[in-house]
Amino acid sequence: MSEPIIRTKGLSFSYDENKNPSFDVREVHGVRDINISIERGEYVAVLGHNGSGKSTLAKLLNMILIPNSGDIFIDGVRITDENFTEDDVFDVRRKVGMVFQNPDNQLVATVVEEDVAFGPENLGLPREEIRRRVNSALAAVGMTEYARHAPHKLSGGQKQRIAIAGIIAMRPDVIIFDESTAMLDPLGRRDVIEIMERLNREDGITVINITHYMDEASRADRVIIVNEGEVAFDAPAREAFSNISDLHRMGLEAPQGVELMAALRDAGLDVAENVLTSEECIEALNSFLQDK
Amino acid sequence: MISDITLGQFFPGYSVLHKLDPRTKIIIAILSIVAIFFANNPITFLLITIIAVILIWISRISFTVVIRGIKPILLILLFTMILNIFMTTGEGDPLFEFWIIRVYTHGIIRAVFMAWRVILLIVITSMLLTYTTSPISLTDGLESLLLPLKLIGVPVHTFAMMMSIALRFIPTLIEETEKIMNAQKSRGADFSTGSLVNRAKALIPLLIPLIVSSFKRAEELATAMECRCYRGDKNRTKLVKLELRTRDYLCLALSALLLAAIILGAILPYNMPINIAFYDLLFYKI
Amino acid sequence: MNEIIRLENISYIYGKGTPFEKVALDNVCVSFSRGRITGLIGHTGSGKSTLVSLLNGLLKPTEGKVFLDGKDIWENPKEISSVRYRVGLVMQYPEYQLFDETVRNDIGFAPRNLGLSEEEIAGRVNEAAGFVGLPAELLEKSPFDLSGGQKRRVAIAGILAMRPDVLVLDEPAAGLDPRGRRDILGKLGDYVRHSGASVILVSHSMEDMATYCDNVVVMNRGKIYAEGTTDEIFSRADSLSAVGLDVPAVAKIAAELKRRGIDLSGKLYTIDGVRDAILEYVRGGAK
Repeated sequence: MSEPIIRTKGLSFSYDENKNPSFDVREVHGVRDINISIERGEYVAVLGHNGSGKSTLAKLLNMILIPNSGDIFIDGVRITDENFTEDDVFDVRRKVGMVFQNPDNQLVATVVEEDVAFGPENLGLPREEIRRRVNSALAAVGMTEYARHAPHKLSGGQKQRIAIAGIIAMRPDVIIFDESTAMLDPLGRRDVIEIMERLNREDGITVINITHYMDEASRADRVIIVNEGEVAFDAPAREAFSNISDLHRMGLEAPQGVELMAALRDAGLDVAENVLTSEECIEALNSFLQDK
Repeated sequence: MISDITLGQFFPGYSVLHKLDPRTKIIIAILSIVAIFFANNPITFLLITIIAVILIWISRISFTVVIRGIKPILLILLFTMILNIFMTTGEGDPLFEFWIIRVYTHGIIRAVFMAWRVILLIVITSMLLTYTTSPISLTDGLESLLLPLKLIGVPVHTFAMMMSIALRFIPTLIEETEKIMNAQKSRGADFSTGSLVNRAKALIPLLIPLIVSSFKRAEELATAMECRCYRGDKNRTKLVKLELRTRDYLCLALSALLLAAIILGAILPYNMPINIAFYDLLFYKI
Repeated sequence: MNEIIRLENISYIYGKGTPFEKVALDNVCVSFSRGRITGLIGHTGSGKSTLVSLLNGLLKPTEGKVFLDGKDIWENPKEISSVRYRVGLVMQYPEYQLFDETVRNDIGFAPRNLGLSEEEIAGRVNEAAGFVGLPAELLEKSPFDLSGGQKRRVAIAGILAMRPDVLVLDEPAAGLDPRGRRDILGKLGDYVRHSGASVILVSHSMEDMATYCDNVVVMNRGKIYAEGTTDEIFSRADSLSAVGLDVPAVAKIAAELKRRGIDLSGKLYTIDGVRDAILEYVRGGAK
């Protein structure tokens, strides 16, 4: 098996020790002893309640934050190396792109296509290549017709698609979505999820979706649950949602179908365990109830 | 309303004026300013006025928009005119006298031309710069023109980046201000009545949240920019490269010629021996 | 009279007379019941935010009238601020409106604007803080030292302290995790029972509508698309899907089971409702 795209070993970070000048640190946890390994092309959801430390983890992976201890390997390169130069950091950020929560606060330019070009421009690519990447990135998020528009006139979902295009244009190996759907309406959310899954499926981009929408998490191949700065769970989605009481204890929920099955079991019905999607839930209940 | 002000706004379009390189427009704007300050007689003013009208005409922006753009400064104009009329002392008898105020014909003429000069200044610079040049290309143009300053250590790129980010966030901040204002109004805050002191006090619940959220925005934006590999202008390329075309050179040459003509028109006449009434009128020194 | 707010033939046009003219509300007639939680749902751009701003007089309708307790709120425009105290509006992401040095003063901002005595203000602050579950020791802290969820509560308490007759909340749980959502939305029922006030809850989430609301108003493209009790609205789930609103997953499950001939009945749009219906079905079948 090839080297995982992301691997961490005993990774720890705490905000006070670093005297981080950030404005909004009070509510966030650091992380403790994180050991995860993500393969190239995986689709991983990271769950956790507000302030559980899941965003901190993301910021460590592309060197926005520097860990207190432990190691991170990106594509086999140890990025926690003390001798890392500015160019090396640059390389890591090119490989690991990140889309944030508030679409307004990640758009830099007053014209959509110039915003998408921002990353490639920083990479120092030749003009023709930038143009090609901007066009294909805008097409990938379905925003080609808005190329010359001003971003502030777009809807939240559209802005977030532009932000994604800006990352795609850098051709990263991994894209981390840090609660990128939290501020969107259902339609905007659906668009963003569709795009992230298409990028994973068709372009083989490793997708890490940090979220607290359970329906989003249940679509991923694998779910990592972060609780109070530690990895509480790391398994395929189906298993992650099988222990409802643990989820509730961590301030989370399971998708509605899973919750329903658990509620029925609690009420003494012998319905199937191990369902994940609504479809599975329907099949299981159907066969259970048709017999009655 | 904030959105009613047309001064400083960009009107997208495809006219020749829109297509000119921003650097060309910046240079022509500077030449025009020089010309307007040299102009000192009816003939030179007439020439510049014709140029202004031609600019408006080729930009295909409606005259009403341009006139609306002048509105916000009307008060200042009126004030300078009045000052000019009262403060100018002329030769011969005053037009009329009242108490210590003496109004001379020369004063009135001077005031009119003073106002005209300011109007020309605003019309020409906004035609060339804001109305027909997008903020971002204006910034690009400035950055490129100021590039030589980099040699003496001026952070030209950083400066241009700051400017374009400021432009990008103006609408966002206006929106935010409106939101917070509504939120505080919903809690009974009153921004529009009361004494000046009370109104200033009423701004605190607006300003503090605005500042706090701007800092948060700034921090998030900085993180997002770093994530997109931003590290100043080191090895940075551009999607849109500024390129001077034939039309730019033509316009620059034409502007230089016109400037020369205006300067000549402003300086030469006093050395000319002829003296006829019409000539006097055209070259009446203001 | 069982309605607290009634909107009659309301139209609202942004930028009327400019080239950017946009009709946000088009001849809307709707009323909100007294002492109930009414959900207001619709897509971005459906006009629900505009409608909310009309309820407490932040916007003045282009046409039509807004009645609060049977009285036209714009009858005397100078008294519009009294309407703002009676219709408390919690805006989206309200934590951004916090500004004062202490949580106590921030919650007391509206009562102070009302001109109440210090004693009365203190009483209201404590009451409001209690309602949203803010521990007393937080009252002396700076609001900027609190976590996101706590800030949200402070902001909501700041409106509750006005003791409004109608409490309007625009996406009060946006961006919160499941526990935070439950904490805030779950309190609304208690609040209504306790204070007798009416609540209007604006949300994108059909789950929230199903779980917390007595009545639902659905908006689409500047018009009222449907209104009724939660039961009535969810019994017509197909028409909701037609305007692109997502029915809760559990409602879809129940609908599909019914389609396959399993005769369920009851509140088939919440987890508890479907659970009870299935238990009922099983017991009935066993007979």
